[in-house]
Amino acid sequence: MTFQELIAKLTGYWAGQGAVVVQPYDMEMGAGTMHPETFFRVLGSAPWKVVYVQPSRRPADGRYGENPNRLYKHHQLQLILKPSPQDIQDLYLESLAACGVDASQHDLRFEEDNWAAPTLGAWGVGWQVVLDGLEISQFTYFQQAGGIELAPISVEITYGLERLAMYLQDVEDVYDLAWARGVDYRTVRLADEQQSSRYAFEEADTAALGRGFDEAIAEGSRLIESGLVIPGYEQCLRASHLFNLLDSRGAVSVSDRPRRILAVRGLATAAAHRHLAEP
Amino acid sequence: MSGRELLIEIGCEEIPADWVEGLAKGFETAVAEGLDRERLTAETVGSHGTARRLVVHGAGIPESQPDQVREVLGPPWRVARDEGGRWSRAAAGFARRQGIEEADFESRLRAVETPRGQYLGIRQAVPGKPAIRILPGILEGALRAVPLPKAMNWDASIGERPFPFARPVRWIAALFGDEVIPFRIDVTGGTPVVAGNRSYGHRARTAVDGESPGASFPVDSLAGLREGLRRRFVILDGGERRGRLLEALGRCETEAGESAEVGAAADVHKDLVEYPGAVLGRFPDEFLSLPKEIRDTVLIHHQKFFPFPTRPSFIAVTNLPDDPEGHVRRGAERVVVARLRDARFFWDEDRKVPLAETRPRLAGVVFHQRLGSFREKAGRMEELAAWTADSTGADAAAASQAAGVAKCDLTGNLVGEFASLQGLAGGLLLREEGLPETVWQAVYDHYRPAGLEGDLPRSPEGASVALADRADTLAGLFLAGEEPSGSGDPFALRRAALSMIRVLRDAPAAYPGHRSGWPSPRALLDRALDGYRPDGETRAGVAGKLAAFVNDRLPHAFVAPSTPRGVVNAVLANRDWSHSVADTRQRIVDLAKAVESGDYTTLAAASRRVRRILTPEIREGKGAGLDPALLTEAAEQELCARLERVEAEVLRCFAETRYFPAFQALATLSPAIATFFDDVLVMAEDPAVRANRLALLARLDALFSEVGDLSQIEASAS
Repeated sequence: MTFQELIAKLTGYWAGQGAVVVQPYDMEMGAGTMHPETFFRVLGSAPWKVVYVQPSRRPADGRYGENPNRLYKHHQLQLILKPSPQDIQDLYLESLAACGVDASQHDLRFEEDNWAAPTLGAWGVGWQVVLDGLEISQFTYFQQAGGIELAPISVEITYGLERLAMYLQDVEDVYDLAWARGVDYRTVRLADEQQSSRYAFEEADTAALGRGFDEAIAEGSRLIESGLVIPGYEQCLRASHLFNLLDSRGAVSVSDRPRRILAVRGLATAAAHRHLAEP
Repeated sequence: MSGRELLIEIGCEEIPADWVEGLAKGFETAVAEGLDRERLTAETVGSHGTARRLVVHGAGIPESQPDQVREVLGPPWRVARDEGGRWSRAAAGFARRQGIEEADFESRLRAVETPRGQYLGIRQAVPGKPAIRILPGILEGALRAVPLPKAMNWDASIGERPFPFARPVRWIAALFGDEVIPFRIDVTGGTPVVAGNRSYGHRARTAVDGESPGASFPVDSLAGLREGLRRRFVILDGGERRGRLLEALGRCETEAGESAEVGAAADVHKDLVEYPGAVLGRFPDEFLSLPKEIRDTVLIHHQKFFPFPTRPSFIAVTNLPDDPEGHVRRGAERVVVARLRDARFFWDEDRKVPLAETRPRLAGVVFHQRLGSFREKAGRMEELAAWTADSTGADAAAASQAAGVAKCDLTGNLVGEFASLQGLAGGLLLREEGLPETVWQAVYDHYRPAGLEGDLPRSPEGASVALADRADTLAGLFLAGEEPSGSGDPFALRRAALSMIRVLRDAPAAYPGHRSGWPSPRALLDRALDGYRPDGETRAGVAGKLAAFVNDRLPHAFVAPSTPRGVVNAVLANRDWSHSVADTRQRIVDLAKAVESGDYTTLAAASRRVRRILTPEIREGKGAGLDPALLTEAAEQELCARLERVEAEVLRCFAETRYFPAFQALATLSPAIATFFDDVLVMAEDPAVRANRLALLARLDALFSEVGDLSQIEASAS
């Protein structure tokens, strides 16, 4: 099963379960959780089912395309179901079966792994799903987002697509993955990994990034206050990504860290509260 | 066995492995208490827990509550009869309302004594309710009483009250005999979880012909549940799971030809899986050149696998009985190799530059906004570690060298990836560079102990570096105004203080060649404050806060089953952070021993009594004006004579730091003290006699005070 077939299979499976298929958010972010389709949809009481792929940037994980397992940018397939169906574990296992994982021949475990995103004022409880020792998904029951207690509870399932695909295709090097028939991951993504790593570790102008961070925070606060919640939240995403870039350059000191995290969290919390306040 | 069997199975999504035992036990206790409270006491109650179920069973539970006789009170007895001696209207009305016919008045109406006086009473039989109607309430109460390390909200409620739990409940089997207990958990926006008589086994395996894996099956009893689960690849008993796990590990060990390093982890692993199996995986020999600490970090912390001492192998615990196609083994091997490859990359990168040469990089790692970087911290630690090592006769040059580079691994790749390797990584790199053991071990060990628990550094030089690190952090962060408040302790300063106290407490015994010279916490922290060159006023304020902070933590380092709180408090009454921690510990241990063998109850009582009698001025005199000639009564003469002998003995032993004989000698005063208080009137009318007796007590009190505050002992020691 190629990388793109895996995406199509999982997306199709969850669409079949009634999930709305949306597209990746058109901004840099560290994880699919930050996509407004997760961040805002888990708030409030309206039921929602959504699935999407989110390219996720972790500048500190960049390895110039030289590490077989680690990427500047990887792909998450993210699912949100609100409220969480009672047979969600079975549905999840079925989604793996649809991708060709025969549970009777593999060791599949739900191991405790609670999740917290301080910058989003969010946390949840759940598991990492481990397939023969390999963590392939994160399975979380959201308890809080934007500093707000949630009810009903949403379930979030995040599939690490590269890992799962490497497992299914039995390859040792992510760049050897077949993205499509006859086209490997290397061809599609290697140049991006090389250049992005160089950018993050060598070329990024940290002073400019720092200024950008402060501007994003200020702009975001202003927008959220004026009721433009989504554009305001986008500034929160921007600030979060700039923070990650600064961090990958080692340009965030221990004492600077809490201040910046608090600033991003402040924006996220404000956006969440404002979102709930506006009809 | 009479009565019925109770069987409750709460089927859950995967419960965290290290909660399982506690939750099952807590559930059992709560059910048993609920049964007792409702007078449905079981002959036996037991429990089992796995990752996906909590099971409680009871045997010999009565069908219904026993009937009860209840006293119903009516009007006061004095108005129960009228002047003619007949039952009054009030009494008759009450009796009729209780359903008693007039003909039975004489036999049923009686006087009852109550704290408020005599009342008319009637004994009424209350028939017990059937257990099946009581059990739902007991079950709800018990589920709510299960002690959860962290509760999860899952939109559930029981009887309209929210019901957070460990993880979502997916099925309930609840049987009283062959009756299903009516019970349900409602789920907002979902289907209620209704108690029934069905259970579920392994999700993907079954040995039952014609049944698809994961299908439900009927249960009728604990024995039926146990067997039904076994045929569906779930072992209900934790002990049996543990046994199977050890067997499976044993098979892998035989295959590998070496014993794996399992330790206590088997206890948690048995609750991670419901049907323990194990597979032996291998990794290429080339990774054996990677230090074992790094390999083990990958295997244990990241994969929960078991390493071997020397073999290039590991064991993965599985939730499957077998792995015929080798899928699980190959999967596990692939993950391990990928992670080991990562780790080796980091190790190789870090080895490219000698650790000491990376020291300038510490300038880029902020220790604290107001305290500068780790580069400055390293400088202060060098000085402090050298001073400590020097005081105790250890290798000051080695300690200083180690302290200077101890933090360098923070800028390396290994620690960046595996934070738990901090210290170890630096030590390993220095060993690789060929530095002497005294140096590399001191770096390797310098995060030890994590608090009161855990190993001490292996050498006095390592202890000196550890102390320097803790003391510098405490002094600096207090100077920066970051002392912990309430529950907030973001810099883990409480742990740092306990770690420092622990090293100082145990160092003399741990390093026999360096028994003396270890500083007091005060001396160490004073020296650490010097490193920051604070101005006098700031310094005084911070020293005061540090004193209170360290003194507050001292008792934690001393209280133990053999050294109860009262004894610790008694000694700490006159010992604090400015004294040797090891010496304070010795006093506490010896006093506890003496309290066990000698009569300290009398001494504690006497100490309290003396303090009550004596004014502060007289206490301060310490019995200076005592004139033995004025002692007239035998009991006071006896006490005085004994006191002089014991005092000399105690002070001599104290000077030699032999505390146990001193405390034993002190206890021999008890009979004389008891007789004194029985026979002698302290507050004699003659002022001179009175003053002299008070002086005698003041001298006794002064001797007590050498030990501490004996009045603290009794409360907890007896």
